[in-house]
Amino acid sequence: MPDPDIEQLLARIQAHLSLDREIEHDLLEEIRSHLEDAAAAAQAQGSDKTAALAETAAHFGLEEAGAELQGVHAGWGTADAVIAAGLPVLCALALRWLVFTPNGTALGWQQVLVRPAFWVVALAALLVPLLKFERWRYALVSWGFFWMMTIVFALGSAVRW
Amino acid sequence: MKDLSVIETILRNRYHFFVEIREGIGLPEKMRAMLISSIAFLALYGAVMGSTHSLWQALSSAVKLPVLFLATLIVCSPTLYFFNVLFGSNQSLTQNIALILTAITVTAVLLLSFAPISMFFLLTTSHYQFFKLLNVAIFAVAGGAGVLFLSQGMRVVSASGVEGAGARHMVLRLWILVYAFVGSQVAWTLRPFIGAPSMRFELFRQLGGNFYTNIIASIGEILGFVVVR
Repeated sequence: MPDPDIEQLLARIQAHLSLDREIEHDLLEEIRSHLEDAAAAAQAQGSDKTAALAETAAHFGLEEAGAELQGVHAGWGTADAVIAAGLPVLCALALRWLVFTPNGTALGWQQVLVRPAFWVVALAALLVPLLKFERWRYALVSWGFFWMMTIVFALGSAVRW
Repeated sequence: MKDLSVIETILRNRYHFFVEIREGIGLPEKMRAMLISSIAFLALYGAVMGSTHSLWQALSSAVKLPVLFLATLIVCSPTLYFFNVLFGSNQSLTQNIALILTAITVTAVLLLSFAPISMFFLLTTSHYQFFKLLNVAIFAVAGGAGVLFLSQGMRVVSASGVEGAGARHMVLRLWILVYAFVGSQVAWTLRPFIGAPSMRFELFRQLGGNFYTNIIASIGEILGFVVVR
């Protein structure tokens, strides 16, 4: 059963957020657990729960916290979408122009594995998303896509771009 | 990440964004972020378009596509500013440019979202005319959405000067037509972006012809009426 006092405080924070529903939900759940802990601690000490929550909210600075959270997390939802659209395209272009033969075929693909360019692109596919966005999820998606494209080109020697 | 947060604000909370432009809040930061995002997304889409032909074409299109949009912005923004002022607007040139940049950013984001589709057709079809018309359609959709944003933004930003609002709205509509016309002519001047497979790489083709007759000829070839050489 949601506590109406806590819900009210969360609504004040939510008014400052304009993020992905998923990110917003995670943030609010985390704050909710902090507020519930504070309320439980106050009740254990015999204090009034509403007063304890009000004190926690004042200490927390709800409006400022909301604006701060918005500033920190804004852009991640777009970053996910940009990565999802741009990274596969970028990897495919890098493979096409840096790794495979000039005429766009995968003939003699075994030689691809000894080309430094291949390993440079492979490492870039793993490290650039990781270092730039500090998220393993992006790096693994990029890395997976890179190897999938490599295998598709290598196995289908008739594939030509 | 801050640059991408501007895109999130434009797409999710556009009214707030336009109000900030109207109030002149953080205009240089907003314009910088929009410019960086737009150039990056347009360059990537340009590289996809040019990849049908050669590496040089891919690199050249990656540079030329952002130039196309920025050149159109530079050519067209004074007209919008002066006509708005003429009909009672109190917006500055910077605010006008910020609004047009918003439209370009939305167009660039949508083009990025179309990039995997364009890439898919690049890998699965070798028909040059089809790929060209596909891209014209993609640009029409993305550009249309961009100017729709501009129209909404202009309505919010010019709300403070109600006098002459009807005339300014008409000016905007006419300006959008001029913008599309200038944009297509700049694109024609900067061509090739895709590169005909039968022709060698050239940074720019010779002047002559125009965008519209070329598109009609491409449609004719796809339908089997003519063969474009």
